[in-house]
Amino acid sequence: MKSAPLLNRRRFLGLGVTGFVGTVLLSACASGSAPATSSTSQPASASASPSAAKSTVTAQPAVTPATSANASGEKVTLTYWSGWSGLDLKLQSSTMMDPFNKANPNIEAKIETVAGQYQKVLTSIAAGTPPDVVSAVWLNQLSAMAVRNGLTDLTDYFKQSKLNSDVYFPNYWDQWHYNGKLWGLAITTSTNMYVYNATTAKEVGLDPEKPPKTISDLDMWADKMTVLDSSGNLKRLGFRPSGLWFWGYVFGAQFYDEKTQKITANDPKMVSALDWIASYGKKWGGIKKIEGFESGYGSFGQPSNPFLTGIEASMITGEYLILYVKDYKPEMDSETRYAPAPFPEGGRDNATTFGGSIFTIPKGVKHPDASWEFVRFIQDPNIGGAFAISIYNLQPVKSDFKDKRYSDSRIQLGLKIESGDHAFGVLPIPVNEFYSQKLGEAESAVIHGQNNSKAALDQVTKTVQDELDRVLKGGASQ
Amino acid sequence: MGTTSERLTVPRRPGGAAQRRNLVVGLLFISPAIIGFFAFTMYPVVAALYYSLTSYNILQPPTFVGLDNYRRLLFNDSDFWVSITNTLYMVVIGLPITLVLDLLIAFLLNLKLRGMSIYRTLIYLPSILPSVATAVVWLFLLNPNYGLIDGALGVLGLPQPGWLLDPSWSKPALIMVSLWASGGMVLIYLAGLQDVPTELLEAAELDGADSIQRTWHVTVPMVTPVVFFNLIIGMIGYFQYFTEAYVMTRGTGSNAIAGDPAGSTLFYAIYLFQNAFDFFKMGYASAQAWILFWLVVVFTVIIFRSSSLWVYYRGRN
Repeated sequence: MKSAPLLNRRRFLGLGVTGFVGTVLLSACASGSAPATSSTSQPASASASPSAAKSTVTAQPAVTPATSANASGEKVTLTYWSGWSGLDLKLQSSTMMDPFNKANPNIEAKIETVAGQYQKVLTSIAAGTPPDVVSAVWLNQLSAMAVRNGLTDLTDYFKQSKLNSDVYFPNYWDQWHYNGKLWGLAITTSTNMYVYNATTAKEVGLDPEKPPKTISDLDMWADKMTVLDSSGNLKRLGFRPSGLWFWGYVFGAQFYDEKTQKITANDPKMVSALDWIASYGKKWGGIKKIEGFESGYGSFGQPSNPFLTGIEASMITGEYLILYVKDYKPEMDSETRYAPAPFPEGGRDNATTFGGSIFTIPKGVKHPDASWEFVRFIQDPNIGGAFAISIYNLQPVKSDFKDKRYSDSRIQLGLKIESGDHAFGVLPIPVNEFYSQKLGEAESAVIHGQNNSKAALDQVTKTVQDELDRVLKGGASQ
Repeated sequence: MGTTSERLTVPRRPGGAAQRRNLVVGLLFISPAIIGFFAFTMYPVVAALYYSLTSYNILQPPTFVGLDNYRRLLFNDSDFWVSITNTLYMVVIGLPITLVLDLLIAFLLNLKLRGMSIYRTLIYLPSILPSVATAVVWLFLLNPNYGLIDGALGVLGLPQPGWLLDPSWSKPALIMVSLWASGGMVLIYLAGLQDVPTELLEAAELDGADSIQRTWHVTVPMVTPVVFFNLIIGMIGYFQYFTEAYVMTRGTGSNAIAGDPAGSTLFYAIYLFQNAFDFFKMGYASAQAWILFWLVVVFTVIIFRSSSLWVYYRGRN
């Protein structure tokens, strides 16, 4: 006769249910509590300031220089998460980290890369173990993270420091604010301009001293500089536009109406811009041939750059191309010409967009004073600026105009455009990333013939508007 | 004669000391697995159920919204349905191809040829390589301009699709990569094939069946339990398809557009990941996760119910 087993089906089920219920209770208690970094259970409003009491941070003194942040003399460790990697990371070490550590013997700043794992930033803030400084926050995430209480307000820190807000390009300075508070500073940027090969232009009968100014000029240049081989395959691409986020501005479109808080992605000028971009998908054998050709481009930062190898005659790109030319193909230097982006009637002259990495201090860092000292320290054109120029970027400060390092007339043109009225950053909404993703999807769909511009942009408008309304209505806790 | 059979075991009541000790020892041995299961699997699953009823941006405490996430996903989100369609494409087209092809490969690997162990190793090897690294290599292979695949097709005079750049070829390209890495399934099939009782095959041969008839009437029915297993596991895997698509079609840059080209590679898990980590909608993504769970459960139940029609277990009718 078989004895009843000790662990029979009934008991096993009982244990399982108990375990499940226990897990439910556990998670109900645990997840109901706020992450350690948020100050209160209310949604963070824009009035959060660095001096709000936080559970994990000892009472903050009034903003003082970092040297008095630890009167006991013990070393403070600062972790800086950078979005750069590889060689750029090494350059950061030599131009930024080493000088900082030397000037601040009581702080040990370490740099780590989070390239390719940017989600780490978000989860580390949520977990209450954020890095002390992070630059892997992009301009289009800044307001989103600020409004959701993920960043430390830097307004007072800046006011009490010796820094002067006047040194920065005014449109940049504006962009680093949301709801009147300062959330970060950038030391790198670049301008988007029309770059063309003067020799190629001359070859096909165009005047290199008169770069295209209008869209129809640009179309003509693109056609003339494109070369197909005998089987109709591309051998050289004259030009192909992409990026509705950029061209929308060039065409004069309005992306967002701040007064009515309405997304205006289906602005007729945006529809024209997308129509124009999509029209290139029908040229030269069609979008498949063009994309196939473009997929053979080498890496941008390598000698196989398509402009350097001559298979792309012109493009929209930044100042950094010049320095790649000087590095890899100096003989091309004199024929690499820059001009402001051509624009249609009703569009914007000298238009560009910018984004880039912003140096921020997450919410809930252990030594905000030391974190701020690091951010403040790198604002020096000989520190942060030295890094910027080493990776072929610019620092968004007005002193660049007189800076010997930026004396090249092409870079001066970039500076002029970048600091001008038609240099656009991101929109003052907390759903920038969502908006640009939807725009990108629409652009891809229309280029591949799966939708028409108006319908696609109407859909984008509706989707992003719904999302924006939801976030604004629910308060910043969405 | 006439004696009752001896009891061979000492009679034990349930709960006796010795048996209880055995149970405790047994539980201790498996406790790491149990604890790990509850901590790293059950807790996140239940937490996700909770978060799916909230609006949660990770940085701030969640706010209860009831079934709003589910309502918005099912009725107010076109991308949700795009991601379902793309994922179902992989399940309905990719999975059968994988199942059939792998079975055929397993048949080939079951032949008695010299060097068979080398072939088996070669077929299995891709499945144990790290998926991110192989995805990057495949990116090069599939490049329409300088990739080896289009190069070879060109030499043969065949058309050269744009693969990952072409909305109509991106998913077939990903299925191709998936097939290449499905050595594990082949191995399981192989084990099943080798388990086919030879006496049945011999009996069939004696009855005059040729090799095709033997295969169809003996081997295949005997192998259906393995097909069943691979079907379930493969289906679950394809429903959760993420890694290759993420590496190959989304890029790791801060401004990569997911689902390129034209949303053709916006899979369910990719869209979920986007919602959770790019758009600050963790609650929304949690609801997505639970919808996927129920979807997979429904499919699994359907397949299980159907199994009595086509799966033959030895020892049963």
